[in-house]
Amino acid sequence: MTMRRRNFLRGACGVAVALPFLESLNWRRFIRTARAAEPGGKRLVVFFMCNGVNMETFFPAAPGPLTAASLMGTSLEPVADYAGKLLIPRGMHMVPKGWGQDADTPGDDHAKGMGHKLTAEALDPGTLYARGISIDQFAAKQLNKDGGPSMTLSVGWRHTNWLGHISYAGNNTPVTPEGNPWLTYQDLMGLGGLDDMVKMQIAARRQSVLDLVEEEFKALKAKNLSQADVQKIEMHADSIRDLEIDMVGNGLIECALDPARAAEIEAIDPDSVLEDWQFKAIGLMQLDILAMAIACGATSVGSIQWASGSGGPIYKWDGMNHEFNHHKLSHGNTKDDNSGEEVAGYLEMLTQIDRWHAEQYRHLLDRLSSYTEGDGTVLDNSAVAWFNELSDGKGHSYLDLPVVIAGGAGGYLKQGHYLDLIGGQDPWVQTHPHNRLLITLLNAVGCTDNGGPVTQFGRAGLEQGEYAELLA
Amino acid sequence: MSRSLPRTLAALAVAALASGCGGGGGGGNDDATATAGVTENPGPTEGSAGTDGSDPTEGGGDTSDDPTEGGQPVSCEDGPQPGPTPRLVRLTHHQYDLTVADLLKLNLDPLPSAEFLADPAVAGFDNNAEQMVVKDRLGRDYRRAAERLAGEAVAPAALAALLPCQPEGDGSQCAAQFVTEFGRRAFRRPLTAGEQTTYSGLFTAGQGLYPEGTPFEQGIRFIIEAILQSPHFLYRVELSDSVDSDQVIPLGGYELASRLSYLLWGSMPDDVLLAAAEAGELGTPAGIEAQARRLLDSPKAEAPVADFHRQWLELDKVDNLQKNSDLYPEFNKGLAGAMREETQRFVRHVVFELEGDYAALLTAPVTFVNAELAALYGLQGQFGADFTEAALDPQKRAGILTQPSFLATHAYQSMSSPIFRGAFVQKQILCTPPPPPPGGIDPNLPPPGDDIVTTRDQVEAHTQQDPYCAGCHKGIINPPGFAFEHYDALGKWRDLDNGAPVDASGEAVSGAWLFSFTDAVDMVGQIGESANGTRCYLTNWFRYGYGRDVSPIDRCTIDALDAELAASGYNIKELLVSLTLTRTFRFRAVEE
Repeated sequence: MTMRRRNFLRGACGVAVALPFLESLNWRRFIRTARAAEPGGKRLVVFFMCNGVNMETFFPAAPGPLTAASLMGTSLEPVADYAGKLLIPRGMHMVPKGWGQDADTPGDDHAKGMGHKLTAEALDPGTLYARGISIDQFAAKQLNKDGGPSMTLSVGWRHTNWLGHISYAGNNTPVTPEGNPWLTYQDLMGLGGLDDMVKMQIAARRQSVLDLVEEEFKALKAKNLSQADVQKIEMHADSIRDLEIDMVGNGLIECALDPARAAEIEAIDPDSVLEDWQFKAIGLMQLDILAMAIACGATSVGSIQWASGSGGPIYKWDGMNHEFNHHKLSHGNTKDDNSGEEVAGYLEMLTQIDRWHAEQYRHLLDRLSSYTEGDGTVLDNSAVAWFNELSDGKGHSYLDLPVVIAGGAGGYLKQGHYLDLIGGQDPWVQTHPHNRLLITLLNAVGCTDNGGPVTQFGRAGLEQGEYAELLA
Repeated sequence: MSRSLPRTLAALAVAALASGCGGGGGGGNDDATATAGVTENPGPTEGSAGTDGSDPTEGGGDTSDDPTEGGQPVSCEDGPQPGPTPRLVRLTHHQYDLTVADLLKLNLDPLPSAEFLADPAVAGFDNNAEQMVVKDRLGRDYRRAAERLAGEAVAPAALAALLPCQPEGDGSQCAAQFVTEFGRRAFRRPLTAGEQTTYSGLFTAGQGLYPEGTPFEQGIRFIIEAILQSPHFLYRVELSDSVDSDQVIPLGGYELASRLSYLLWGSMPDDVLLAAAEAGELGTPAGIEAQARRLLDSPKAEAPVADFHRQWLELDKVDNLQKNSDLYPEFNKGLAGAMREETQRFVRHVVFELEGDYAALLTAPVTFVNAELAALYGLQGQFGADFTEAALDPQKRAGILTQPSFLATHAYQSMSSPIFRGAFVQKQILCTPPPPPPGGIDPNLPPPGDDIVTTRDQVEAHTQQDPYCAGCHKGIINPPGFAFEHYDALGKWRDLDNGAPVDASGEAVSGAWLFSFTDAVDMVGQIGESANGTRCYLTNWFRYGYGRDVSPIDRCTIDALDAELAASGYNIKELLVSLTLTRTFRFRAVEE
């Protein structure tokens, strides 16, 4: 890689000579080697919702095979067409448990609901950030070429603290999601869409600067620095070394959207991306971009996070006309601090919200299955896991988590089934920790641990092994 | 199949939640009733924990206590010595914005950092050098900003302001001169010969690499684009490593110039400061002091002072402020923004116009109001959209802690919160933070009734009966909060609370200091004159000013500064000057 950059750079001095010279180097082929993922590989997508659901209306009536009919009348009705590709495993509880049950799990309920979910790690009492890597970043390291990170997107993200983070590169290293679809899209496109001349100019400049800066980092590292300073330099250098110079992807599906759609995304006012009235529009853009990135191989792993724990928009669209934000409604209260009055009809409003998110989930599944790959679609090779921060939002419960998985990860996961893992027992028996779901998902998309299947994930001492019940 | 959740938790490991509050409140947690603070409903805790979204500093680690207390003893016999400081300190986003505006001589709107990946919020100040790293998207954000800024910088009018010469011929001579002078400002030191060659080379390389502009503009643009992505621009780099006879490393003149300008301006050194560095004038305390005073006399010194107080006083909380619209119909986002503006104007007034001391910050009965704030204060007279200085009733108002930016943000939507306010005083103002609340507690105060009338009654009934809760609440958290009970959830004055007279008196303990007071004005007056208050203010400035937390060895530095400043009355501008004259500012410790 470095060698090729050198050649390329040397060609980049003086335009009159440089451009034909670059052509002769076949720069196009060089740039295309910036491939993030192998075509047709397995993918992991996390769809993350906050503040819990209305548990009474979320699930089908009885465990067993899933059909479109069994989803009718539930909050999941919008994905009824996908019944045969869904797996709804019910009865898992979050670990670490929190909720006053683990004396050594710091943080308030929302902090835990966000930080534990994809990490199964306790929070650091000093920072309230999780103490380990999340499954999306873990999977991305293995599935993405060069171990590039998971694509982390958000909609209406306003909490810059632990309440706004689900994805972790490691202990105390939260990964901030991107809320502006245009920034993401530009980066994904690389220089796609520009004419070849301009593209070459930009690529040449960026390559040249990267090489220059890399030399400066090298010279700095040779100085008398502390270990912490060296790490700082390495982190910086690593993060820019793999910045794509041009088009990324697998070269089969173009990393680009329909030009009209791209123009809509470009037209978004960056100052408005966090506002409630943009929630739906931005959400759909993020879903389009996420599906495209997954399909074209820009990344094999991605997540979309809807708002944040203890926050959320006031839903005033698609038949909803709420007066209070999602968090207040999750408590059925007019105040975030629960000091107000009960909101009449809040349970119905929660069902509306859950159902609306199911519609967005449906959009993501539609997009993923619109890309064909081999004999099937990208969805068939993916596990698209819908997680929630909580189960029952009013009680801040971590029991009986609502989880939906679409796509069988290339035949690994059971499809078209609603399972009740605890078989009707009291959820407080807590026999089904959610870290084993994380293990199952990692194995489903082909991750390994020391060459074998993943058997443990999250905090030391948790139960090990995947859930055989979830496998095809 | 029952899905209802049990409403009781059989056993909670409360023993592990041992109270960290020593003394003052009495009440041990060995009592059998220690579990009484944990009620049947283990649900929402946000009401009491204050972690409901808006606050990046609540509930997290408390960095505001004094880490120089306790721990291993440090001898100060040899005088204060430098503490551990990284050699690479990345610019904060705030500093980046100020720096590129100075460097490129541009007014930037929107600010480049508006699109930067936010640094994750951690407890304390957001400029801790250890946390200032480039990861995830930030490298790409820097690239995007560099590409945009370089384009703006070579617009004809802008370029003229940056060029030290008229380009002649192919322009390469002028470009080389530009690299010398622009590079010196961007890297805050002269370029090495190698750097001069490398960056001058970009002048030719860049020509033809842009779709628009003259060849000369393109070459200069490429130089700027690259420099803005260099680690020597993005980080303040300190490479000095010759040890002197005292076994410490004296910083070079340019390194000191950067330390001075980023502490006092939040931005790069100006030409005068760079010239002083070049002339060796920063090698003596007198030379540093002269420059520090010059910098403090510039309006640019207002930026870091405002940034410090924004963080210390948690002013960002006003961004997420909500109030009960039935009780406070006058509240809206405009008023919330005015609260922040009021405090920042007050701080600027005290520090720069009055050249005041810490006590003035805590006690001055003046403020700056627009019409909305004037109404909140109940002021008579004509007020408009602009802020004007206003005298306040000294019996009722005194300094920053009686301003709505603190009072309204440390309150519920419908009522005051003595617990939030008291915890803030202990943590931020006195550097004696109580431990975070245990999990699983019931945040709901008992409703008013026959014996429970006022908010104070509710808080006392809820937190002072049970010895476990009382350990922290009774003598530490509650009393300084009760002092503010004359101010409602918005910060308006009240004589009555729920029909009963307000009792704002109390007796509290902070570390070894026991203080009693009749109300907030009395209490903040005492804090303003107290060694606890001044030392805590100094400690926070130490953290912010040096961009690092306090380590044990720094006790000697803080002791010496504290003694010196106490003798001169703790003038705030003098405090800033003093921070530039310490050995930890002027020297680097030899690392093991």
